[in-house]
Amino acid sequence: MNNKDAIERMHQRVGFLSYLPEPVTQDLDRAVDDYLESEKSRLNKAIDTGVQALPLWLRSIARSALR
Amino acid sequence: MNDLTTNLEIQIELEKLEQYLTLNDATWQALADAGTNNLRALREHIEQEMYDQHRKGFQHLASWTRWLSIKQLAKLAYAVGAKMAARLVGEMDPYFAVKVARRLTPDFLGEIAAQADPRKIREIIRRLPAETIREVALKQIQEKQFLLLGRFADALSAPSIREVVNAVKDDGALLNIAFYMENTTQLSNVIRMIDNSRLASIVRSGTENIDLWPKAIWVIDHVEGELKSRLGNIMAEQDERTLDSLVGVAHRQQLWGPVLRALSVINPRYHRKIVNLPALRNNSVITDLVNAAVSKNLLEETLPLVKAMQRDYQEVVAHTALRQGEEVAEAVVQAAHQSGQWDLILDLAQFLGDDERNMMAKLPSSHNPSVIEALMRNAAKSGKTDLLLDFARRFHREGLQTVVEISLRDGGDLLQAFLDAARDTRNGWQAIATAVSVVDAPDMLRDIGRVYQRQPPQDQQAFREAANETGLWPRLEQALPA
Repeated sequence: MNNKDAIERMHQRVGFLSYLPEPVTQDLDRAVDDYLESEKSRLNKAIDTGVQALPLWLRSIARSALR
Repeated sequence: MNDLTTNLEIQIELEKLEQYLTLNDATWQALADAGTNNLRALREHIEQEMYDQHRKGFQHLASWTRWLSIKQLAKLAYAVGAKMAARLVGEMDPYFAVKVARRLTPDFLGEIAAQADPRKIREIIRRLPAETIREVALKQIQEKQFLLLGRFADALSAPSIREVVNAVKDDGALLNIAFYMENTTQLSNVIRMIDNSRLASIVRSGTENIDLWPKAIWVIDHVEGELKSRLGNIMAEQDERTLDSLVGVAHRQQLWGPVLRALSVINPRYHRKIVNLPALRNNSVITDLVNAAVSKNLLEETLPLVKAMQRDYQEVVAHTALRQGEEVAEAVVQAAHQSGQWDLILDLAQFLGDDERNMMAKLPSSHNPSVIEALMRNAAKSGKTDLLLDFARRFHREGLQTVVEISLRDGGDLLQAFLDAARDTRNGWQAIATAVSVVDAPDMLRDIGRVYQRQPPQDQQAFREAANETGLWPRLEQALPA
């Protein structure tokens, strides 16, 4: 699971999840992890492409900010 | 994920989660069972985690964009693409972000809106020119992005709302957008800005399309006060055939809660038309309606609708309500008592059989003196004392004592009314004799005797015979005033 911290936070903040049966929780954790991972990958791809389009002086700032 | 719930609010939240998650059926069902608020909390947390990715980096980058001109930023937005632009724009000062957005095409703005954190761009949307919003909305409607449009409609300014409503010719699309709005205060604001004829057309689009009807009733249910009755009246104006098919949908999709709430605020002149629709002449429909009225705490609002029903419909309602058991019967009596609708209860009670009347007489509320008094006074007022006498003989001892005590107030006016009714009621004298036979207190026996002595000789004789049978007469005779 690549988004363990995010999923832990989700269990801490969304109270009703603790009442769900184990198989349901596992399926939900997996789906949330998949979603966040795919979003992260799409965003990283957008950043990689986007940074190239920035003016040179802003490019390094963007690279270090969005590392 | 279909057919997990009939609750529209849960359906909306599940639909929103479905944009993000691929789950197995058991998980969807468990989530559907968790309720709207829990689902919303889960969805908002997932969105928060998603929009928090690289948030600090975008905040830092946004602080540098102030060194660029608006023209350069607009050019840059296209160059970095909608996804990155959406994240960047959410961290920019809305004042500059609006200036940049004005230079972008509606298509590209639509793409950005789909990728942006709605909470972050609300202020930008509010400040965008109405014409720009209109163009973006038209494009998104073309792509049937109602969920997205609903979320952003929450942030629209009044001029933008007017512009969009006037530009969108598809009433069903407007209804869909309204359905997905999250801020119900804003939903009411939007509806208020739509003129009556367009509003009628939008509601009609919901009533003419069975798929849209639940959405129309959801919208009606979520607008405020006078708007709810305005929309409800438009719905009620539809022809009987349309309304009949809508009753079918309401029944299948268990929409009785929203329907009853809407009906409770429509003009009463429509009640008769709606409650006597053929689709309501069905036991299972009536059962669901009664159960919804009880479970949604809408009995007080439902009773006037029952009053407007034809007698044969009322009879179905009476039997159906009692079939649901004591709890429902008690809730109906309490609702009638709270809202002063005893005349209806007495009308319905006439349809009840022996077992049903016995059940009513044993309800907890029949131990409540204020309920008994209200029942007696209304029975006397509406000339249904014979019905009351029939119930009285089924009452428990304390109930009977209360009946007698109340009937002796004000010089025995109520007892007199019951004696008058006894003449024309089968077993009427016996019913009164049984009721008063529970009295032991000498002062009450004396009061009964006084009323007895006012009666014509033939009534005195009839009562005496009945009182003899119940063993009351010797005690009463002793207490008779000289």
